[in-house]
This record gives sequence, structure tokens and C-alpha cells, in this order.
Amino acid sequence: MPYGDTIPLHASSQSDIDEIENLINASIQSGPATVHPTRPLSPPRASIPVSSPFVASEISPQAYQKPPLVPPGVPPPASAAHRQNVGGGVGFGASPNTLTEPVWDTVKRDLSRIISNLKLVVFPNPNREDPGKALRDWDLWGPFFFIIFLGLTLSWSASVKKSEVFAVAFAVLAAGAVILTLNVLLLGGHIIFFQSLSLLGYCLFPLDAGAVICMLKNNAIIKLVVVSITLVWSSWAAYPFISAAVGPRRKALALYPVFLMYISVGFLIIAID
Amino acid sequence: MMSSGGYTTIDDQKISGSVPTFPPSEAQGKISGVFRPPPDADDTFSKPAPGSSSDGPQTGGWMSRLTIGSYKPYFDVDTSDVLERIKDSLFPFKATFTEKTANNPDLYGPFWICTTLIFVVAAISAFVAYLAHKWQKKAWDYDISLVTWSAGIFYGYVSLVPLGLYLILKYFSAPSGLVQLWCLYGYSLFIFIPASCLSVVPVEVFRWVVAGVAGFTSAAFVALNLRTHIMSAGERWFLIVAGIFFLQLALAVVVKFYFFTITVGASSS
Repeated sequence: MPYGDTIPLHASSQSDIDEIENLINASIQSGPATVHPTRPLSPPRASIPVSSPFVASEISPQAYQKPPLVPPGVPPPASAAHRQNVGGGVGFGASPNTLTEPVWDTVKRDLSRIISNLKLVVFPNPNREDPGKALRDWDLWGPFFFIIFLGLTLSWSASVKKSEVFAVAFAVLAAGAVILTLNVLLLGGHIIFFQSLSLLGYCLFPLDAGAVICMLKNNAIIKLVVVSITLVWSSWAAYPFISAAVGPRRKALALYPVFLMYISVGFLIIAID
Repeated sequence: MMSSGGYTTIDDQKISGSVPTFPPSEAQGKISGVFRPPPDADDTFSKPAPGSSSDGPQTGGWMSRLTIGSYKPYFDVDTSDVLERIKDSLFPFKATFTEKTANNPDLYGPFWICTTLIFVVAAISAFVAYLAHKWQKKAWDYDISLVTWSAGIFYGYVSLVPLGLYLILKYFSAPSGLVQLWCLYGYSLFIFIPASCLSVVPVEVFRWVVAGVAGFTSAAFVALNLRTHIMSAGERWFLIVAGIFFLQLALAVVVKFYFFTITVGASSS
């Protein structure tokens, strides 16, 4: 199921497949093979890992117990068990650990992923020109955090109707991301829906920073300058991804709404004092 | 023999009397026994309805409306098309818009012109109110309900008025396509964007003149483009056309009055 991606295989995925082959070959030959998690990081993309820890934990004791008792005369069940093990989760050796690990480990892992995605998307780096590589390990925690943070900052800055301000900001950003993605898809572009949501959320980071600065300093000129700079930065971050997704004759049609959304958010930041 | 995907055909029946093995035995030992799209395939494989090859018309009527693919034909425009249609909307007396968009009405223009207009009106009216309060040294707070009200007015107008017109025309047996009407009304709103930008000028008379010109142009655009079509509706055609004209004019007046008429000191907009 994770192999339904049509983006060229990531280096770690290819090694996963080789690893699976080695496992099956090894299980046919001899006893249990140790399963090394290929990525000590997050559980596999786009699969539901809920069942796999239980499956893995149920089967792994048996698989480990069986081969000493029964010599390689039963390769099919063992290999089937192994295949089921590794089919259920690529790094299944890590899956039981994600349930029993300390909370700080989970949070640290998600935070490090958010930071690495942020560095890929928002800051200049050599991978930016290739959108497929740029946000390979997308997630939605980062965008969620940035949208909420921006809504909260605007709400704090507002002197009247604070809850309405938060509601409008959140609605504009969330619905805006969905509508922008749909816009690209309808124009015949090729993007993955959630990857695009993730990217548009990460590109909000400069505007978040601008909103915090504007909250602290209430001078109109400074606000204008700061918001303009962060606006340009956000648009620059989102540009290569969107423009690579559609054909050349419709690029402006796909890019214009992105700029519109960021400009309207920038305007909200300036206007709310 | 049947050849599926990337498999080689099994021509020689070494296994007598048995069904050809599937998957073929040469795939053993490699996990890639399952067919995968070629590595240079694009993301359309992962999407449910990748366009015209989707099961749009075949599945049930209402289900197909939930796929993206069924709406793609309405976004089949290039940048140059959209720009040309916008330019057309600025010159109402040519009345060629409906002919040009009869075969390829788009919903991109209406939706994004509407959204831009909402934002521009909210922004400029906030700016105008800010300036007015500043000159009179009064405090001013941004009223977020400007955004919500302008969204309601414009989205509501562009979605409901063409719907009403569609029903009326159907009743008078001069049916017009609903999407064409949406397209027409959407593009007719474009002129309000430069009009709003011009309304920054703090002279009240100037603002009324700008609103009047914009409203008149927009209304003429809609009315003239529909006139030839509505004339086939019978004797009532003039009423319908006049109704359309004045409705658009009324929209311009409402927008001007609600967003660009600033009273300082009283409870601000």
C-alpha cells in the first residue's frame, strides 16, 4: 500500500525492499533473522500502523520460538509469518517501541520532523527545485501548529471581537489551503492533496514570525515593512512547489490564489492592532 | 496467452494440463511481483478521478458530482483565456462574451474574481475607515465583520442571482446554461475591483461617481450579453433584462453605501 506512490523511490524505501528480500531468503535458509528497523524514525507513511504492532507482537514470539523446535522443514509458515511481520510495518521492530516509549521521545521525534520539514521548505536549500524530494516526509502537525499559532496571535492582538478574529483567521487559512489545493487539481495539475496542504501550512511560518513581531511593536510603518518582507518570503517558499505542479500555460492561474491568500493574511496582520 | 502488465507471455506449455501459474514463477524472490506503475508515472495514478478517463458519467448521477474529475471541464482555461475574458468584461457594448464562452464556460474566473473582490473591498474599506478616523484623531478598531459581510454579499450574489435567473428563464422557456450564467455574472464583477481601489479618494462625490460608472458598466455587460438570448423568451423579455440591469446597479449602490461611506464618531462600520 505504501508502494502506491509514484514518486521515485526514496533511498530508504529501496533499502526496505532489499531488506525484506534478505529476510525471506534468510528465513528459508535458517532460523530467525533479526529485523533492523530501516528508519529508526516514524512509522511507515500512509498506512494504518494500529494493527501491525499487535500483529507483530503476537507473531514475533512464535516466530522466534518455532525455528529452534522445528528445523527449516517449515520454511513456508515461518516465511509467511515473517512476510506478514514485515508486510505489516516496514520498521516493525520499532512499532512496539512507539507504544511503550516515553512521551518525550515521541514529541521529540515529531518536533525534529517539523523542524527538518521547515528547513526544507522555508529556508534556502539545494533540494528546493525538486518538489518531490522537498517534502518527502510531510506531516500535518507542523501546519496545524502554525495555523493555530497565527490565529491565536491575531486574536491576542485584536482589541475587539477576539474570538471572531480567531475564527476568521483559522477559517481563511484552513479552507484556503484546501481550496488552493483543489484549484491546482482542477486546473489539471499533479500534486498530492495532503502534501500540498502540508506545504502551504509550512509556508506560513514567516507570517507567524511577522505576526509576533507586529504584536510586540505596534508602529504602522514597522508593521508594513515586516509584513511585506514575510509575505515575500512566504510566497517565495511556496512558489517552486506550485509552479512545478501545473502546466506552463496555467502557472499564473495556479500561483495567483496563493499570493492572494498570503496577501490577505498579511493584511489581517497589519489591520489587527 | 494472455499478457498482463509487464509479464512475458507463457507460450510453451511445459506444464501439461495445468493453468499457467500466476504470478509467474520468475517473479519469486522479488517483492515486485505486484504490478506497479512505471516510475515516471505522475500522481494521477493515486487519485480517484483523474479526468476524462474517470467513471464520471457512468456511475450514478449524484455520486459523480463528488469527484474532482467531474468539475475539471469547468476549469479548462489557460491564463490567456482568463485575461481575455476579463478584458471583455470591461467593454460591455461589444456583447460578444456569451458567444465566446458558450462552449467553454469556466468557473475559475467567477470564483477567484469574487474572492479577490471580497478581499479588496474589505481591505480598502478598512483602509478608508482608518484614514478617516486618523484625520479626525479618533481611535479606530478593525471590524472583522467587514470581511464576513463582504464575503456573504458577493458570494451570495454570484451564486444565487444566476440561479434565480436560470429558473426564470426556464419558466419562460428560453433556457440558458447555468454554468454560462455563473461565468457571466462572475466576470461582470471584475470591474468593481478597480472601482474599489479608486474609492480610496476621500471625496464623497467622486466615490459616488465611481460606484455609478462601475455599476452601470457591470449591469450593461450582463444585460446586453443576455439580451439577444432573452428576446426569445416572449413579450416579457424587456422586463427581465431591465430587472437584471437594476439588480446589478443595486449591488453597486449597496456596496458603496455599506463599505465606502464612513461615519466617524458614531459606532464605526
